[in-house]
Amino acid sequence: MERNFYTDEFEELIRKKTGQYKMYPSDRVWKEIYISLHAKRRRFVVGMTVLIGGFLILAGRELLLPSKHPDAGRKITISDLPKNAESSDLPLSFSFAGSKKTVGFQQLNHPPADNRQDDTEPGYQPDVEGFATLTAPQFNQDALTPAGASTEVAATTDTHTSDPLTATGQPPSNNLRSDNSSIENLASATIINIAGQSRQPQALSRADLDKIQKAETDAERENRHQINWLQDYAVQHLAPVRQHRMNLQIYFSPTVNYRKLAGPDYAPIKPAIPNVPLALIHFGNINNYVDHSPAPGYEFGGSMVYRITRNISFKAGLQFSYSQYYIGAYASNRQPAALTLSSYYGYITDSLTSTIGNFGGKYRVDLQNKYYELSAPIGLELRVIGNGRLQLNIAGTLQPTYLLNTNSYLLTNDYTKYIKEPSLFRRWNLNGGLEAFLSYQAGGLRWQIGPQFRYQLYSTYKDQYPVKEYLMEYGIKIAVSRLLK
Amino acid sequence: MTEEAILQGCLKNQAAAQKELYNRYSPKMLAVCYRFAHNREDAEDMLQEGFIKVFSQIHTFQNKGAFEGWIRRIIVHTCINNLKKNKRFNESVDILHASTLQVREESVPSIVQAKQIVDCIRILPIGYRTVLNLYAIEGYSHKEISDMLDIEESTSRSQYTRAKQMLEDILIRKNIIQKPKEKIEWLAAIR
Repeated sequence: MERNFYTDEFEELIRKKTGQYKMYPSDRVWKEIYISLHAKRRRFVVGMTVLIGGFLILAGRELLLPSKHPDAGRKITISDLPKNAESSDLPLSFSFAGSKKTVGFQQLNHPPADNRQDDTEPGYQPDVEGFATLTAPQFNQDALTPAGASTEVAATTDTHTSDPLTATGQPPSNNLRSDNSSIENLASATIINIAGQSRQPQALSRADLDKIQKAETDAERENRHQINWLQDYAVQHLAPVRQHRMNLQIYFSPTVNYRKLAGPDYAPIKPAIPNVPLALIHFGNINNYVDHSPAPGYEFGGSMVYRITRNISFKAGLQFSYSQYYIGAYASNRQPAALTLSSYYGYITDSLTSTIGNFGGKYRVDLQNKYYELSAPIGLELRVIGNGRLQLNIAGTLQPTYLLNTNSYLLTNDYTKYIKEPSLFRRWNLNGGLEAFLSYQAGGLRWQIGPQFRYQLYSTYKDQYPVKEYLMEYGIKIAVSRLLK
Repeated sequence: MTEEAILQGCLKNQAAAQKELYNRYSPKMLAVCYRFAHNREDAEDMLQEGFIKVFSQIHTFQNKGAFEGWIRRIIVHTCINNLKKNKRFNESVDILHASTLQVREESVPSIVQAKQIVDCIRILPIGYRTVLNLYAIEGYSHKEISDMLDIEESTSRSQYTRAKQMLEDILIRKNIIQKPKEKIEWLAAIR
């Protein structure tokens, strides 16, 4: 390409004039260049915004609005009761308020209780799903629940009777409408025949009504026996629920990594002899003398989370971390690089050579310091707020860490060179981690997302080396956990 | 912003530094593209592709030469690749074609304008134009041009000679340049 093409006057003219010519591109060109260069970053930002925004909306809905569980606040009506409630372990209750049924009191003229009837026998009107409800004539649920109040009656049975699941009926009387106490008694003594087996409701005759009315106190006492019987019965026969407390969690965290340097505290040295130059020593914060910038990394791992209490969990696991950061440096000719180590015997200077300078050189080079680490995070999780489905948690961990590679660059302690010296790297270290996350239960899995911060507690280099490096990670942790049964 | 600061910013993928670099060099580079391209839209496409390469390959720049020269080289290679891809470069180039070119005889200012020169270059057939651009303006040797365009070196030389002759004729006919004296005398003697 190097050639003397200016010899031709014509060529020189052409070159000169075309060199003067400029054109200004339209805005479209830069926009498309920008999109092409930064589309990945923009997609990442948009994606994370949508993800975090979605979680926040869900959190707001779950925490601020009342529960919309389909069973919440629902009254179980007669028709909802199971066919074979006798064998059910569940405590039962039902409400008149939710029922639209008005059952005529057709058993008023029935024979006494000893004449038991089949379900098909005239006069016996089985209610829905095998339940027979006997109420007073002309009485409907509205009369039993004044002002719309819900009157719940436990489906009870008398364990002392031979027919425990048949409650005694409250006989209606002619003055029932005007007798509020009788109404209450009637309501509380509404006959429920659970599960419609071969048992029948006790048939009541008019003659019995007077007796029953007189024996009101007996009925009340009996009712007291019956109240909550089913609950008690159920409690006695329910198998104890086994508590599952152990969760298996796997997670992934895109991270941004950086470091903090701490150098030897060089005090300004006054020469003993004036005007004698000292060796170049850089005073002050070492971070001001290096050109380093964050770089992306990631970590992933798994852990076992054991729920100690309702709000506190213990976790331990294994994690792999890849972290890196960039260093701006300069290529230079091979030059001596002094490493001064503090030891029991004082400072020892080890002379090495390096082709990478910190302050200047032939041309710029970008170094990448990469760290591959295995660690075992152990820590606690605390539920701050939330229900079983959506929670806000915080967690802290201590992470014993093993460094897998030692081929990163380190800064000489006069800050002028970068060298590789694997023997100065500390293999075992300790990191601290903090995180806050939103977790959401969906199906059998619990998903969580939130920011995390990880800090290396001991220097990357051994204690003998006066320059200290502490790695930091900022990340977004995405995890999924499953209850182990 | 200094060129060093721009370079550092671009190495860190900073949009502000990239925009600054683009603003600084895009006018010249678009003119380069325009000399190779069929029209302005094609030139802008080449410029866009070239700058994306510049930003994505900027870490390979080693401060060994001028930054502008490095960018220009990328842009030129992008233009050549684009021409090859669009197969426009393979248009037949015949010197006979030059004689049929219709150059409008119109009065032009005596001051030679850069735009007029560029416009006249763009009149040339694409094969001539490309070789002329690469050899006379961008400074590539015929050997390099032959490698870039996958042609014989002799072809490059002959194409350049013809391109140069044609451009000269066009410029003379448009009164952008004057005929060399000896040529005028020689023409007068014939007449």
